[in-house]
Amino acid sequence: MKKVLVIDYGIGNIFNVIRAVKYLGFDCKLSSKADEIDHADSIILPGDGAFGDTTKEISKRNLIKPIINHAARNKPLLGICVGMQILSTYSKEFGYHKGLNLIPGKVIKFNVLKNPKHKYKIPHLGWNNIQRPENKSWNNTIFYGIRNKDCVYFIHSYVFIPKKTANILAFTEYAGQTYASAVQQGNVIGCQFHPEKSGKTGLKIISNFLQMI
Amino acid sequence: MLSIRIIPKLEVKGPNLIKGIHLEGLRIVGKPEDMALKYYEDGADELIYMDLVASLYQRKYLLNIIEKAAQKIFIPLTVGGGVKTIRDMRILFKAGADKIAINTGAVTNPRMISEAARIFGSQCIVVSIEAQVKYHSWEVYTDSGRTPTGIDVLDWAKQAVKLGAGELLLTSIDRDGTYNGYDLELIKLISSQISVPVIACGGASKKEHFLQALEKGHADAICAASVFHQKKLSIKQIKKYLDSRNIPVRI
Repeated sequence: MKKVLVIDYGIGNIFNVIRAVKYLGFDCKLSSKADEIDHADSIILPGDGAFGDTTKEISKRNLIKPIINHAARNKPLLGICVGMQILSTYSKEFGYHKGLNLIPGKVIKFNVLKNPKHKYKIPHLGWNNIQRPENKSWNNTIFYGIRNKDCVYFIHSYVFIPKKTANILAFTEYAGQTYASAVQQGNVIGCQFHPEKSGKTGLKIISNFLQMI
Repeated sequence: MLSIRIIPKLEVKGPNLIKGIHLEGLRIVGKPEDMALKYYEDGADELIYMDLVASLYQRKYLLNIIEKAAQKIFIPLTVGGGVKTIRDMRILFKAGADKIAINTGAVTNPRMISEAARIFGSQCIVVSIEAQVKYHSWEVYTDSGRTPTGIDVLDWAKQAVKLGAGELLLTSIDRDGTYNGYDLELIKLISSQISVPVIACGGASKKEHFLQALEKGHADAICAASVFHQKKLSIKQIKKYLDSRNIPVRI
């Protein structure tokens, strides 16, 4: 029986992801062991907190290579929130930090402070719309069956700017800025929002991902 | 576009969902599990659970309620009531809380805000402030609105944010349980000067009250209890009304 592996690297509330997966009737395993990740059919990389702390914890557990190998074998990988951000090349949060470079791009802070009126609050917190880029179909993606502009739950201060627009799976508007709220390259997928906290819409997204195994 | 959030508040005493009037006189209004699920199905954007007793013995009821809710309800859950230590918070996060609300514990020991923010992340720490009108401003109260502190609400709000609060839950003691609408001046004062989201609480009974809190008070989210528990209004009705008035809501 194929199951999804949720990577436990000591940060964030991984139990929400596990609860959602179990609620959907799928089997899942929690692990921080390199050899188990190496043999996983599908991986979810949850995330909370800072980019630098996250990559440090993953590196400490020798998980970078297994994750990269998993992606190289074209197996499904879903990064959530900071888990999506670390798929990038680098981040500028609290200094310069290297990412896994699975989807080329950079992570930078919201442009809010450039706006003199500065009425937008940071972090971006709450329900916002995910929008389908023009000329992109959501069939055969985690957004299959999701309506354009459906709402999902965000909480973040940094955004991922992919190098190639073709990697943008969904975009969202906040603080006068449009940015990638979901990215994809091959079977490596990232969601800036928390599908495990996005009600029925989020559950459908997770379900679509789980069915990729 | 970012939507405003509608957040029902469930006050829990032992195994029961209760509601107080002006924080005196408690009435049992149902079972927390049933009401929470109903609100989730009806479109609640988040839920806030407040433990009214918060003694060591009674805490097990709340933990049980949160554990059950987290298995079926996939929106953010904020839990508060008598949270005084990092250990209290760890237990609540483990049970399924996404955010913790702290009030008296924070006023008594403000450094706990920064410690909690450092360990769990600011986004998980909601500082709950209960305030009552005093002369030309508002005074912060603790112990479920019973003990005046002599601290000005704006001073405390600014300090809480400086220490690391990710959000503020602002309750007007004068309006809570009265059905007379939110204290718009209070909400506007805090919301205009604070850089984190403000959740307004206390006094709603009509859909117009929700609109006022957003348009005049500039709240980022609105919290209410009686109006939902007593089935005066449903979340769907409120959202439909706000949508018709061009307020961004998640429908």
